[in-house]
Amino acid sequence: MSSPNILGGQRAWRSFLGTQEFGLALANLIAWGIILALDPQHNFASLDSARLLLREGVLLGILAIGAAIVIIAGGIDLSVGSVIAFTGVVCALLLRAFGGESLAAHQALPFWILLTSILLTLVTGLLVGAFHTLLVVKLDLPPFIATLGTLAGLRSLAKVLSNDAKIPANNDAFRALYTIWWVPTLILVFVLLATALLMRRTKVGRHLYALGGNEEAARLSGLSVGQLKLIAYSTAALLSTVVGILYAARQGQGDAESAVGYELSAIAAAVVGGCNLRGGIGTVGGTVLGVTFLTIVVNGIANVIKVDSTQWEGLVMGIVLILAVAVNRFRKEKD
Amino acid sequence: MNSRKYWIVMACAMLTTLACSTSKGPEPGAGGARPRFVFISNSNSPFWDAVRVGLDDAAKEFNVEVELMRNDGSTGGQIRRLEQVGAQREVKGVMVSVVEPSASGIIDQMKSLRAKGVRVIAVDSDGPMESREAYIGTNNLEAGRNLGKAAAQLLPQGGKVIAFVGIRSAQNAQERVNGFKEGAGAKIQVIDVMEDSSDVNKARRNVAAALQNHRDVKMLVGIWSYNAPAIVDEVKAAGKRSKLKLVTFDAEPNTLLALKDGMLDVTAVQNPYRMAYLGVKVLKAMVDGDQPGVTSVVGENGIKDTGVRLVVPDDSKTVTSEFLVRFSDFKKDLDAKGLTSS
Repeated sequence: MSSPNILGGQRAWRSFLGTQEFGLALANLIAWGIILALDPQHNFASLDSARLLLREGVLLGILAIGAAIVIIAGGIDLSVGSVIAFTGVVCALLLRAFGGESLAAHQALPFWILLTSILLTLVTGLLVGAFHTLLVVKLDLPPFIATLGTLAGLRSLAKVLSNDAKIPANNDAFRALYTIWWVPTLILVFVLLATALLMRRTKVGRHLYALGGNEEAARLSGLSVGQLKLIAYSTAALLSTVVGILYAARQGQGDAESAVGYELSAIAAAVVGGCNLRGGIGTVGGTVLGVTFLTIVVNGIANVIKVDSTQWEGLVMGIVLILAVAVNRFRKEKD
Repeated sequence: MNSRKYWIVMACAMLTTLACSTSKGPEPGAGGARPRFVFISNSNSPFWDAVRVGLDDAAKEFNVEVELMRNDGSTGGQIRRLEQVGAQREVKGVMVSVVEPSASGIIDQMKSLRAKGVRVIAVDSDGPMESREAYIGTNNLEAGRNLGKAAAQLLPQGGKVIAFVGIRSAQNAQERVNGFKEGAGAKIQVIDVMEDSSDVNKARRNVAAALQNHRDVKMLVGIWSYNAPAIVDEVKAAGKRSKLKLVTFDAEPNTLLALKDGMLDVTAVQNPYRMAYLGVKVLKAMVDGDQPGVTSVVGENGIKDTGVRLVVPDDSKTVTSEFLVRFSDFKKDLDAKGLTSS
């Protein structure tokens, strides 16, 4: 006869095996294994490949977590690519404004300049999030339209600020934010833990799910819909800003033309990770697994298709996205 | 079916698609035997079609595999492609048309590839010397000078000129514009160099805006390959061909049509086929440790100028140059190589 403890443990184990996160983790492993097998050189087994996947995954991961929180709260943020470009330019301009000749001469910058530039850029990102909330809550614009407006507007503003030129940010200490591999990784881990705690362990997180599930019911239940949307859109904008700073560090410049189409990758990763575009469903963990799945597949294309691999990236991304939405829909119907 | 099974089905279905698409790749077993080279372009335009033919011909002749990765014109895109190549152990040589020589992210990746033992050369658009072992391409300053001299012949009284380019700060763009100014002389004033960030639609909008805002402009100059068709189309739409001299770089298919119809006065044509062919030849020599083979192409200084020709319509009488070639002769040369652009 089995003891209640053993039976409970078995149930918990079975329940874990049935979760979407476990399915996604398995899909990641299968994708990695198949690409490894199909590639005659087995590049995915190399340390360089692991580093590449990490670098690619970290930026998309931070971005997708922000996109997921907005989607869970029942909204959508189409502006993230433009926020990256805009805040990258702002950060490079601030570094130039404070750093002046030191930056131009590739000399070391005082720590306060780096810190002030980064903090002011993060504040700029928060203001973008607050602006989105203003458009959605006070002007009652659909989130799709509000963020479509800033998608176009912020990139244009970045071009105005930079006078359509690339703004150099060739400072070693600043660039270390991206070039030292564990720095962006650490940022992703922090973002992952903080947002997972927010969504799973706090009242705000539960209220965001409730808002996304049924906004009217959430309003009638006395939830502060405006404040919740402010939290969702500000978090997404803040995380896009973090990526904007990392992206500027990666390129060594602020570039108004950077990160075009990143909003689609972020939303795709969130959806592949189990977020429902109608809101109320999704997890931060699932989103990160969606990111790793997309990163493995998209980067694996170059390993498997040795000729003209870039032509296939969009097709594979599209197939993954459509399959993910179809699978989620089918699951929902079965449940 | 539980969620785990759904995700397994999804992974398998997607990867089956991926596996099927490998039919476009090399033959089984070929991957490990021959050295693999990658060419990373700076943008995506028909200019690279001639590069593709040159790569394919050289790949057959030198028994190597070559992939052309077309970048989207962005710095970030080129960094990502360089990172991807760095994670592919079979890649022994890389040719890069550098988007921005001042972008430290690109230069760092090129240096990182070299540190791993991958041979790196710049083709078409150069990077800093420490980032590459050789440069094969047009001497863009000289090409700009030659086009500038042709422009001076077309506008002997001088006048205002507007130039159009993808990315102003790209090395080849800077050199072409500076060379053009030198060759054209003081009477010709370049009043603006309009940037389109490799966006063809924006390139057209820039031309339309220039025609509206600068009615006294006498000449338009296309610096990157796709600027030529953009200029021709907008000038034709505005009905201003008779009032404007049009000079450009490169010969995309639509540029060739415009030359045939006399809608362009002159275009400075590079030799992308030869750049690509020589790029593969040099990399193969480098990988084989054949230093005399490397030197025979790029010399001791590691630079090979693949030359430029000035192509004019068949009935053109104004422009004279030692590099002049008439459209019909140029077209015959392209047809002989199976090229539709250059």
